[in-house]
Amino acid sequence: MEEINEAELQSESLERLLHLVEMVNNILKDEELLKAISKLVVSEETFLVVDRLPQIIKLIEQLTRQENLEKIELILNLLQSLDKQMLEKLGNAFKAMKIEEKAKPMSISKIIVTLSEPEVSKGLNVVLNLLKALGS
Amino acid sequence: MSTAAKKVVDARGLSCPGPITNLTKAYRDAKNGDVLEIWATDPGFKSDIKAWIERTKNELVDLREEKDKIVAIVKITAKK
Amino acid sequence: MAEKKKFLIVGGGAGGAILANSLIKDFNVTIVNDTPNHYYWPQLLQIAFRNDYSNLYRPLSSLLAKGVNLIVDKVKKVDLQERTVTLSNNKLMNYDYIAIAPGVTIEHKGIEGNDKLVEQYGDFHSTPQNASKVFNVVTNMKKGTFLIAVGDPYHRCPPSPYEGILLADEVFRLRGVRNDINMVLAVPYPRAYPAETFNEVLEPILKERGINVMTFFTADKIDIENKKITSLEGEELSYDAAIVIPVHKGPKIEIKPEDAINQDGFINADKFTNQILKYDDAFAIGDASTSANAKTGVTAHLQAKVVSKRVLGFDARNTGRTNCPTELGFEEGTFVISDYNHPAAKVPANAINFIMKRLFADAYWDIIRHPEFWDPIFDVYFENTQPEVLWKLFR
Repeated sequence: MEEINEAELQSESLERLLHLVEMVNNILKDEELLKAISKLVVSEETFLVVDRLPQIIKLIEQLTRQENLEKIELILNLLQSLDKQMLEKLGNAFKAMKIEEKAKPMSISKIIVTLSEPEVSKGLNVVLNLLKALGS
Repeated sequence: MSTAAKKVVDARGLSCPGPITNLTKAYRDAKNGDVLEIWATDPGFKSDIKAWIERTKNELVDLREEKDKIVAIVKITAKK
Repeated sequence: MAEKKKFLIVGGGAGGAILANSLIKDFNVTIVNDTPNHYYWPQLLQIAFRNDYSNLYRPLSSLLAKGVNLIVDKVKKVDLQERTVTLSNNKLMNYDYIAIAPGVTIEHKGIEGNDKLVEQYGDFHSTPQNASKVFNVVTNMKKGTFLIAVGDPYHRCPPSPYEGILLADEVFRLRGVRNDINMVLAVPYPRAYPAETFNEVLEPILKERGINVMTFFTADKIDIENKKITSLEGEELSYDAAIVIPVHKGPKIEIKPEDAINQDGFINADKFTNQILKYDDAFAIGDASTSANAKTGVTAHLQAKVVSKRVLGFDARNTGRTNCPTELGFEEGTFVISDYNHPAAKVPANAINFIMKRLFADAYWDIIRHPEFWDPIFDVYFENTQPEVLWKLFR
């Protein structure tokens, strides 16, 4: 039986490691590769994210605060317990409340008129009840 | 009396670069009057051989589908 | 303990070196290569269009596992019946098993005028010197017709003519002279790319980049004086600078018996087992062999693995799998992925593919040196990128 020389095994492993390092070095010296990766990583979209990063981090931090997580869970549970009819009414209420697409600021008179529309006031009622149920 | 050479180009089972390249190879050594019979299994061969005939202006004597292969018989007439 | 059988490998390229490193545990391996160096041939494209010589070659001795005997010499003759190999000094070697993997011989004289043409403009299928000539052309040309014509449809690396024209296009664009140059790609096929499915990916890209494709054009005669190339199919193309992909022939080695090689000098090997004729102790792999249509490094690699398993008693077989990275310029790429039973999948062009090509190129030396490390990685890769899987993804 051949004797396995431990020193030989060790030097082989070391050599293998060296070869891997050589390969990684080869990769890091590859200008074309690095150019392609940086092009991929930094695009218009990713640049927007990078630009807004502080706000995004703040939002994530807010959402993950314990009290907010609990509220979100409550809402989800409520929605699950609501029957279909109620959900439909809720959906319609939100639809009725939908303000113009163009987000033009409404004049005070327009707001008052909108509020007095039957569908809108029905919807507002539902929302108020919902909020009462949430007890926030 | 000399008979024109008849050669069989067996391109069955090939799909890339395709039977036409086998034909091109045989075409290189062929002379006007020679007859080449090409066997292929690639279904695209039928339209490719017709296109080749149109471009090279050689003569397509026969193009038929047999049970296990497509057979094209080409008479070389257009070589310069 | 029984003495290990002698395995002789002719040629230390991708096929030969990987085979040697895969057999070392079970055989007494000797490899014969005509030069001390192992070349990564895809680098010719990088030299031709980017003047990048890094990764071109390394000493073969640095790529072989400990215990592989390396002989730097030319093989003159192989006698499959006598099981002998004759070296340049007429020294005779015998073997228990042989794998012949010496690659192709580029024959510029195969097309009239090609040897003069390559002196003028170079090419990217022969030598680094010829590739550097191409770089000269693309960095100096200001106007006229730039033509790449395929002279031999069985050339190394199926995507290379397309890579060439698209990388040339990139250089001309970066230099700001693209609008004054008419770019033409002439191919022997009925369509731009011979495989119809992959053509659906490539043809639109060529069109978008303004490349004029001339089909059914097999370069046959080059008129150097008048700068014209005539095709076998009877047509003519003019050029101001032209590169012809030259005739490829088998290795310049005398092989007995004579029916072991075909009329072009390639070795007749079984398409599934790589076995040469009836000799179950003799194999031919890589570019020198007829056992695959695609002359690529990946083919040689996979064939080496099949041979290394077969000689140990396993019924491993070639699947005909191709995995040709195709560079398209501007940090984009695709792959030609097919096998004996499936046509090329319509792999879309994107940056990830380009990145993968470069990662592979950078890892190449390690891949040659340590098949025991890379085998399982490639097994997973090839399993998950089988053409049938890709066909479902990219309809």
